Amino acid sequence: MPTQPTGPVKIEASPGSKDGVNVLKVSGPLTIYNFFDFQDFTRKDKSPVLIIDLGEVPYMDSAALGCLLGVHVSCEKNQRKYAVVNLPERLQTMFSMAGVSEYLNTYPNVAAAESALS
Amino acid sequence: MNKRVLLVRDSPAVDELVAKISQMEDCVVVESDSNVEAKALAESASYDVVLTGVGGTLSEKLSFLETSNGHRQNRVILLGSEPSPGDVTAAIRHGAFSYFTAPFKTSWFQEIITRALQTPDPVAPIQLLSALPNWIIMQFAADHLVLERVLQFLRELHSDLPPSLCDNLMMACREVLLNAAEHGCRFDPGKYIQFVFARTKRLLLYQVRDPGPGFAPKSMTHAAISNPVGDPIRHLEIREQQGLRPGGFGILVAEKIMDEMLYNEKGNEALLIKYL
Repeated sequence: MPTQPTGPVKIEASPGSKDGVNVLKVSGPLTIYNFFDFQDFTRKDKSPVLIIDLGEVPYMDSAALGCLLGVHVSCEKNQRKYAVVNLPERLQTMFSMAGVSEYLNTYPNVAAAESALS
Repeated sequence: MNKRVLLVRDSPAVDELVAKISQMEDCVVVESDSNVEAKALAESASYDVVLTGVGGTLSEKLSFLETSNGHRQNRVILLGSEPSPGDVTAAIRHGAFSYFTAPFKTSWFQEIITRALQTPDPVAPIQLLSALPNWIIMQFAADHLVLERVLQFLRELHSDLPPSLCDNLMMACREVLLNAAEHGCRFDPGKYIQFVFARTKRLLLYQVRDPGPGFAPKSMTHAAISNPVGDPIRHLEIREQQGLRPGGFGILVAEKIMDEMLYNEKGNEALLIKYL
């Protein structure tokens, strides 16, 4: 892996408005240089429902997309629920091109995901 | 230690950029009204980053890259008011850190300014081997900072295209360049990627060459391009079994964006074509 400083990504975890829900808000580009931080957060999270808010992610690359799908696979295996919310158009385009739009559980916002999953 | 940013506030277009910089920790902003006034300040002290004015001449802006009174500003970001391929290539040739045309996209700007402030010296150069307005050849180290800078220069060279097309093209270029840096160069900053961008009336052409051993696209079971129909994440399991990092979507995404994509026999050179 490269040793350059990572881009200005910020990851904040906070409880949702319903029991058992954790919200992970990611801000900044999510790329090969910093996706490990994101991976670390998602692996440590054991909440029954994990909501990942990507509203402030201007772009992600293939590595970060793979990491996001890792959350999908892990949640499927462990029978936990997750949602990806507030997807910017650029990310929607990428998901579509990668052919994974229908695989990821996406919702327009945190409230919609909470209502649907908890 | 505080980082010092010198900027020229000669247009309301820079207000948002100034706000972004001002929010950054340990950052002192010195404002000036014009390039000429800022140049005088730059001759009396060194700054970590200099942002030129949006207005003013190209030569005024490039003058920040000259050594004056023993001070040379290493990281100069040129700002402009309208797209100009000639200005972009001049900025690359003279060693500018980056180039942005108004209206500024703050997400790209924030990425570049953060890296300009955080990355220690020396900043690896981008060698411009040819710079005709419609045919540019660059060579640069397999270094992430350089890739981000190249992508921003490239974005500026596409700024007359519809924004969504420009975004997609940059997405494809990012993936292919990252592949070259990671697989072709092992992120060794001593290894170089050659990049060609040519533009005709009817097409855009990109050529990426790395010094690596190459690869055979059809044998890559760990990449999404090899997935069977109906199972777009099959390769993730293979990557995990092989101990590879998550990913593997880069070539697939680039192929979807481009109209044609082909490789040389060795597999260390890719041609990407987009028809206009």
